Amino acid sequence: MIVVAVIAAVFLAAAAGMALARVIRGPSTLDRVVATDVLLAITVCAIATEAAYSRDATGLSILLGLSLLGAVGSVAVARFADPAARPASDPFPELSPELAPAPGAGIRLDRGRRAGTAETGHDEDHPGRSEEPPGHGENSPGLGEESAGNGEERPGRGGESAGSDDDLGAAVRRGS
Amino acid sequence: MIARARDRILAAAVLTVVWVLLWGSFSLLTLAGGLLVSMLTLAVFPLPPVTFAGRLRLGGLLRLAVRFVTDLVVASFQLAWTALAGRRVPRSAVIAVRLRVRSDLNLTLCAEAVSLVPGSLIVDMDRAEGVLYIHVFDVTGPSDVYRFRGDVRDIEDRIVRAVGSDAEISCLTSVYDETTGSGAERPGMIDEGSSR
Amino acid sequence: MNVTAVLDAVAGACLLGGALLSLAAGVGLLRFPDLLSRMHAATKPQVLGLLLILAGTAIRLATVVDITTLVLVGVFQLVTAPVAAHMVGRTGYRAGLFRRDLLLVDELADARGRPAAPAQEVRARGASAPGGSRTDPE
Repeated sequence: MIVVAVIAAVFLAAAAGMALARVIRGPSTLDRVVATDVLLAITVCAIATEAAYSRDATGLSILLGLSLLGAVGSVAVARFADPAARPASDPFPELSPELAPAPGAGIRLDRGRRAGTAETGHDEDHPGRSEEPPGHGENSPGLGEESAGNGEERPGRGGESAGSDDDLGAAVRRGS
Repeated sequence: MIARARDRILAAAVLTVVWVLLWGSFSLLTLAGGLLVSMLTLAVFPLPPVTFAGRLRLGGLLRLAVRFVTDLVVASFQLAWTALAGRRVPRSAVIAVRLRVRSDLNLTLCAEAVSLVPGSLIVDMDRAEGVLYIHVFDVTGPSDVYRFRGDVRDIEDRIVRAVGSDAEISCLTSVYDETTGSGAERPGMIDEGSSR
Repeated sequence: MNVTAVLDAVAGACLLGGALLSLAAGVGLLRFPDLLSRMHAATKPQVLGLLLILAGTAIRLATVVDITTLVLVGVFQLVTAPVAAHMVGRTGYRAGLFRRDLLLVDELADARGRPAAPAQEVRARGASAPGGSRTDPE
């Protein structure tokens, strides 16, 4: 078992080192988030391996906490990640020309999340959004804004599916 | 109303099982504590109304599990091989897969199953239309795209056959050819007919 | 060859497999060309790698309390990992953090182009396009 433990430890340490290298190199915040997630998964693996090697269950409750809360961090960062805030030394700036999504470009997947909010309030809110000042899209947290763009296309596309989301028959007919 | 109550009882039962598993031993005290805690949790954080309309089928669940584990193992080691020994820069594709059963539950389960398997990742979904947009890793040509779309439909098939209602299963079979045929008409979908 | 030795061997194989998958994930994280590709690499230690190692640990520990804890760890991980992956992937796609030249097909761009075709055109020509709602930073 000692051989297994040593080999596994070497593999895991190497993997953790590489994940750490990705955290340092970036280039974007989201790359770092993904790498941190991997680092967390490797940590969980390492603690479990240690528990298996020493037949000692002390560390297992840590695993419970990590596996439950590990996703919360990345969800939070992804939710509020600001793609415009990437470092100026981004090695591939030409590969990602659209730093922030254009207003109105988001497809309507925020419907579910916004189901609780008043529809009218949201749409009244919206016209102000479409007349963004010049340069706005470049410098602002585009991700926060883009969900506001949803209202723009909802009236047009919402008409064809309104009220029939859960109606299987209508869904089948529309699929043809 | 009855469906709502059934959903709540189901959720409370699941939470109680988690509680008992956390304690690691089954006794009347853990059971009672679990029921209390789960009812309290559901009262404070009520679940969104996702109705479970189908019923569990043992054979279907088994087939789903076998398929899922096979996919998981095969895809994991394929991806590991690509990472360790791949020579060329791997290419990807973002493909749209239209599901046949558009209930929220089916959409969620399919998305979970697809994104748990390495090599496929949900980048977006259109809830009203029941379309998943999946980023597929290591695609070499259009044939891979067609094959993968078939794979996702197959997973959906198994999920619905495992937990869906009879109406959903019949929907699965009756629209199958129609759906694949209609892929060509939809903008943004590859003409699947030309591949055959 | 008694039962304990066999079980230990199985547990060791599970642990090694999980560690190997983690290693491959680390390599993929470094080698793959863009964010979305790296996310695929990240899925491995989070799912199969972790499950293998948990299985190995469960075989080694072999008490009811520990096995239920390990089962819960696995279940929690399986439930939460896709949520994080989806949120990060969605943000990454919308922020354009991927190499479009490596995409064979992009049906999401096609689908998004449908309702807002003019906006899509402006975006395709870059932020400096005249008449767009966004102007050149310079």
